[in-house]
Amino acid sequence: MKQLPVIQIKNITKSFKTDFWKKKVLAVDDVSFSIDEGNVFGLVGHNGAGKTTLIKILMGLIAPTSGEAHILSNSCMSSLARKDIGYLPESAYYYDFLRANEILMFYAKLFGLPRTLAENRINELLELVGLNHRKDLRLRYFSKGMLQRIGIAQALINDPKIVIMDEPMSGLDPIGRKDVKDIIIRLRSLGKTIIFSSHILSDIESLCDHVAILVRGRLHACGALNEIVQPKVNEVEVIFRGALSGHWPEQIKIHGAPRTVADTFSVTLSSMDQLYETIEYAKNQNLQLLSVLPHKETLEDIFVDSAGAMKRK
Amino acid sequence: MTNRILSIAINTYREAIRQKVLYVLVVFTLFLILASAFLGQLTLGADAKMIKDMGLAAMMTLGAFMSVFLGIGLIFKEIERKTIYTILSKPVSRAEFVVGKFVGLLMVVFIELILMFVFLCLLLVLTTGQIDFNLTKAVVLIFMELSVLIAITLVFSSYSSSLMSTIFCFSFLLLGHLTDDFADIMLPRAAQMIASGQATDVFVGRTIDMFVRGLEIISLDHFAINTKIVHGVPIGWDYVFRGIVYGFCLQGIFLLIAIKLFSKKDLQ
Repeated sequence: MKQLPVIQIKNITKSFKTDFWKKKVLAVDDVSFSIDEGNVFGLVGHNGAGKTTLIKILMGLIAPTSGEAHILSNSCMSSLARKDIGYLPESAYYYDFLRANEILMFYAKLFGLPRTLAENRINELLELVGLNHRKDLRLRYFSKGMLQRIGIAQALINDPKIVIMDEPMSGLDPIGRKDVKDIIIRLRSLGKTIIFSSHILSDIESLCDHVAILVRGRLHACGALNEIVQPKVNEVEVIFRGALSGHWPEQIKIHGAPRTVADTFSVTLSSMDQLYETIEYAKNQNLQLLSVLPHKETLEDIFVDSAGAMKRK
Repeated sequence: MTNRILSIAINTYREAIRQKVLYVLVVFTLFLILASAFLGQLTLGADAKMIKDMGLAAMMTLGAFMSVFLGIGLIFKEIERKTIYTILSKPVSRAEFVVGKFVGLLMVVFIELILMFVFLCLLLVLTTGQIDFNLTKAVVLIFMELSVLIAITLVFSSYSSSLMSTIFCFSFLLLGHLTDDFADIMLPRAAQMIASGQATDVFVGRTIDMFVRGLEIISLDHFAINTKIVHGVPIGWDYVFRGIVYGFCLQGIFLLIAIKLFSKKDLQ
């Protein structure tokens, strides 16, 4: 059965002036796509591609110049649409005079949560983001990573169906990034629809099942990750230990010449077809096979191609 | 809706009372009121008048500074610090946000006025042995005037920078207190021009007349009864009541303008 889209974006365009005297800048240009329930959706693009602008339009923080967006059938400009959404802004700031539990209570009140329910939810969330031992500390003493965790907690205070995060891992150390990834994986297991933007493509590839690639405000590709990124192997790198006596056999096609590093050398095969032949050849030559690395197309390849193609246009 | 407004108001109040400049202003004003008691000793039999006059003037001045300096940051700072993103991404309308901010600052000003008024009354009891309950009327109208000032600061705060907002707000305060004098000078002249019968004069006279009468709508002189109260001129509660209604009307108009402006604003 076809899933119903929880988010629908139709022909959204946004242009704005950065300065009174300057010409209008087109931040988002005629973008349309939809997101189904339960998807983990990655919004990919370089800095200034329009990811944050698109997210802000979805959150009703800025109005589109043309087009429309709907969240759970409500217009994104209506405050009703935000009832079932959690939002983590990029580099968010919080009222630093409040303590962790006070700020979460403030946000809980904005959702109209009853006090007891809010208190239980706050304890759960502080546990989830690993800040339960810091709940009485004022936010001004929080590190960037801790503030990001508070940001995630406030985004989940209403137990939302949809969680939208703008660059949730930017500026975090490796441990902080892993923690945020773990939270996203946990939310995915709870059946939440998650949308997050990033220009760190490995994060998107490891977490998302659907992606949209934005280049200079335009939608370059959108769909399931396994449809966009082809799983076929483009080439195979084979590494041996030992020295190559004479020339590489002509019947085994390789890209370029064999590369020698210390006591190892490597060759890049054009396809998997001649892998067994290569291994057999190495065995006859008394070479020790160290590794076989199949090179698949990555999101990065797609993204770099897209950016390059747009630049040429 | 009320809960959301109240939550934003309480948060605004908590943030405002943490500002150290507020305490400096309050202490300075209390010192001014206290100083009036000593200055009163120099006047012959007018020490109570001096205390009342300086006390009310200090309350109004401190209140105006607080309203403008805290008010201009109410929306502008939230945008600048990006704290607004986490609020407006909740089911909070922009109107609720503006009203919540307004109520929050109103609470700060209200508490400041109560504190000052209690201090003024204590000083009066200590120096003259009696309290003038008519002072309450002046304090009520000071509060109404400050609430109008807060509403106008929100209008400016919703679209312009802090410096521009400060200039606009103090200009409004000044203009609001000059409209009656302006009308006294300009209206007779306009009447003369209209009476002259010449087409150009009649046109200019009518334009001036309309402009001045329009300005009178935002006259803040309706709230200024301090001098009359200090000098014992009888002011009835019906006048105060009319001032309260007038204040609510002005607040309502300015809040609607602020909401309208803020609703259209893109939060980049």
